[in-house]
Amino acid sequence: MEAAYWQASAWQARGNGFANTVSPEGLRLFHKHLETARQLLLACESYAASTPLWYVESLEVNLGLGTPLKRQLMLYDRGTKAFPDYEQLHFQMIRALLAKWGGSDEAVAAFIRSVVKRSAVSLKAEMYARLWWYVDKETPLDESIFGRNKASWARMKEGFESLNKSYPHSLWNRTKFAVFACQAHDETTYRQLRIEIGDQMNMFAKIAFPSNESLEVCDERAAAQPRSHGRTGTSSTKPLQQSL
Amino acid sequence: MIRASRTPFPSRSITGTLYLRSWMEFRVSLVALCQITLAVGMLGAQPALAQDCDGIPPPCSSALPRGTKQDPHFVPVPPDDGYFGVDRVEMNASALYYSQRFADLDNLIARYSKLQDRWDDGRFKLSGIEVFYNTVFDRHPKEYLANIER
Repeated sequence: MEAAYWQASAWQARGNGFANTVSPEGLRLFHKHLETARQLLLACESYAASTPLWYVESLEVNLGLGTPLKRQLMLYDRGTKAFPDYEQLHFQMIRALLAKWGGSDEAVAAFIRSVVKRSAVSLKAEMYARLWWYVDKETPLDESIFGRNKASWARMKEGFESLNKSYPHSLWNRTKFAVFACQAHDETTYRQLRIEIGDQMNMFAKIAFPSNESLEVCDERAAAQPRSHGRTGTSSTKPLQQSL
Repeated sequence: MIRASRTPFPSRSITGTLYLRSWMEFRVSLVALCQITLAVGMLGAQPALAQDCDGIPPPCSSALPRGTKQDPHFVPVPPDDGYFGVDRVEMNASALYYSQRFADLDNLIARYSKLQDRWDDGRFKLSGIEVFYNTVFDRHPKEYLANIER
């Protein structure tokens, strides 16, 4: 917890803007506090590494300190060997590979491929969806996660369908499924989910839908566009209002 | 140039679910709390059941009975799904922290670290502890460090 405190202090000193907005004093304090956090994490490793939180915190601190990627990957490997089911470790490693942290789309895509490849057969589709879902959260509004060197909507869809089977009570997963269907212009899937979820989608709509593609926008798009299966093709013209 | 992102600020947090919250998300969290409080009130302020507290002695934030309908327009709050689940873990951990129930907080973290407790959406409840870490130290001054038992 103390390491978490110093990490929070570091970011308070730095601010949340991009690097060119940070004052020299803020940057100095940022590194100073993160180094304190790193030392604390190292000091408690013998007992604290029994929780996945230790690895996540360590990866976070190392990322802020600019630790070389190779060392980050070594720590990540240790964490995933100890806690192979904890997805947050994958998410944290993805962060280090994002363009805004010096990585690239290609690096992110390659990393996700490797994680999915290592996952249990029954979890591959879900893992694929979860990891790109995370990338989407970190993606600027004017960019899409779908496309070349990026996510495949067909595989995302497969992943969400699997998630819905595994966690049938989750409105959150189904709402996000609809969000991605809208972004992928898969109006057929969007309509099906919209009918299935109905007004309950409003519960998570403000959080789940990005500000430039709100629930209202997606409804409008589905109503206006011919039926299609996203990048896979077929279409018809039945509007959403009729479906609902 | 700073561009708008789905997470309104460059994420500084440690997990996918645990990015720095925008005002809107924070507000939605408050709304969620109000909804839960309101719904509990509608149900006659039932005390939290031990099973809601994930092994920690009550009191804790109560989970609502699933599928409860008070009237035709009542939509049950899904207390362990998406952000509602995250908020509930965060609230419970914060309550233990501020009431100085550190042993219970340790036990809660130890339990979640076994990766046996998930929300309805399948994510591990342990990630809610990461949210707790972020929020408790984002909001409060250094004196709170004195509360930490090493």
